[in-house]
Amino acid sequence: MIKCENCFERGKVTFFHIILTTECNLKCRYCYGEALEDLNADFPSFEIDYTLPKRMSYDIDSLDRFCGQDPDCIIILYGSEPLLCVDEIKQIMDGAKAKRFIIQTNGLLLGSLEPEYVNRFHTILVSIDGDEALTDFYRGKGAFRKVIDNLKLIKGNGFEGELTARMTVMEQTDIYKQVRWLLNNDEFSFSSVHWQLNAGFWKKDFARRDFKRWSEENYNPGIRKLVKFWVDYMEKNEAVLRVYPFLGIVQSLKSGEKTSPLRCGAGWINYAIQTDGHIVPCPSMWGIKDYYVGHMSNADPLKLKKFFVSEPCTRCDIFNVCGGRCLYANITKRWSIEAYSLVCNTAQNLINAVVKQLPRIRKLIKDGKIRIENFEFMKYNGCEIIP
Amino acid sequence: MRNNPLNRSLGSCKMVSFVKIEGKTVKGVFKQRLTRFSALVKVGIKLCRVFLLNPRSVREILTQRVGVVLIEILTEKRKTAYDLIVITAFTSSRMCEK
Repeated sequence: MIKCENCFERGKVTFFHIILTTECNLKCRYCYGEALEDLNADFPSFEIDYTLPKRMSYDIDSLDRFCGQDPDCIIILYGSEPLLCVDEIKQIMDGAKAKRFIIQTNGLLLGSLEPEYVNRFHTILVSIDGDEALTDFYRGKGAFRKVIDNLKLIKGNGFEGELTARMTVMEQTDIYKQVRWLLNNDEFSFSSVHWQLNAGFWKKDFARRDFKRWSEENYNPGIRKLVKFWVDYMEKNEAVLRVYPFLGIVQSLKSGEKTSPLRCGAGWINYAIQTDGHIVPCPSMWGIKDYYVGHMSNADPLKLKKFFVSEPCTRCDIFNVCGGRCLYANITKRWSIEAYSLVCNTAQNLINAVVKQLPRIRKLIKDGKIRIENFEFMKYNGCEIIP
Repeated sequence: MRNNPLNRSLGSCKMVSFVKIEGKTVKGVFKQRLTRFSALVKVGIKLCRVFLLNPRSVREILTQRVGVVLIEILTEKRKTAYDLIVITAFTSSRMCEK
């Protein structure tokens, strides 16, 4: 049973992605594949540091001192692939004061970390895109099987925390089919799911992709069906499936939240510490010196500079609910305004789909079939609410 | 893979696994960084545009004539035939240049 965490209110807890290594043991289509196609793209507007150490280059004591200044500090172990650095993970978990540990991993090496450490994770976010065919298509042949085997292993070894499927979604994904598969299948059913659209992160991809047709004809209708399925499930089973984008929006709408800053927390409550110790608003913003907020050797984790999205997000009709989707995409503007408006349409569609189902949800709560507490979750833990 | 000298540059921590290197590797000499993800490398007598597998951590290739190891990947749609996988961190005039 996953414990809901009411204490994680805005501003009381800081999350830090610790980038353990810049190396990865996979070559996924939406990362390696996209970078290969972006050979001519650069960041002429920013000063970039391309000389980051391959591995964490500061000592655990300094990380401990840094985290120790925030009694509620939560560490998210991150990479590229963090489990390439098992020794460092153990040193951090043994030596750094953190209220919780979370890891985001591709799962290939989960079996290499001893159960005494794995079982201490509050949440393990595992990159998996859906069923075997789809996951292996995006991430490479055999990736799915290895991850599933490791997940069975860690469950067998006593892991009882939250196991979240972290999907990357693009044109080959049928969102309705794949999210339902991840939540209920014969291989390994996840307790929660979130996803991120591969959209607005690369410079050259839009022109060669079919994002417009796919988002309008497949993804958006799929989301509407999925939200309906989610509420149907509540009615039938008197339980709320932990589909993060839906949870986040319902929670905001039900609580009457007037406005939401970035829902991933990037740049205001969730930061990333690079391998050289510099702190950036988000792991995607590695090396962008213009957005360094300090160094962990001397920064106060509770007084870090905050960044928020700017136009076009701030003049959008749904900004108060959406919160801006992605700081990196908003700042770097890799896609044109016209192309990015399709991404905004997906956010609008998602919010509309949830709003449409709200009367049914209210009735289920009123009838006592579900409780508002069922929608609570640890905010800013790395899960995307606006994909 | 564990005894592969190519892995020496992967850092000081004890590795439990390695980034798997499959395929033909060739040596080259770094000439110039072109963009975020690409660099110019001399392979034999040819100047080749190569893909930087780990673009974040390329301190060593700020210096020209540093030796590098490339992996050759010949597929139809790729814009470059090589990934730069390892910087051997020494300057060489013998390796590939003529």
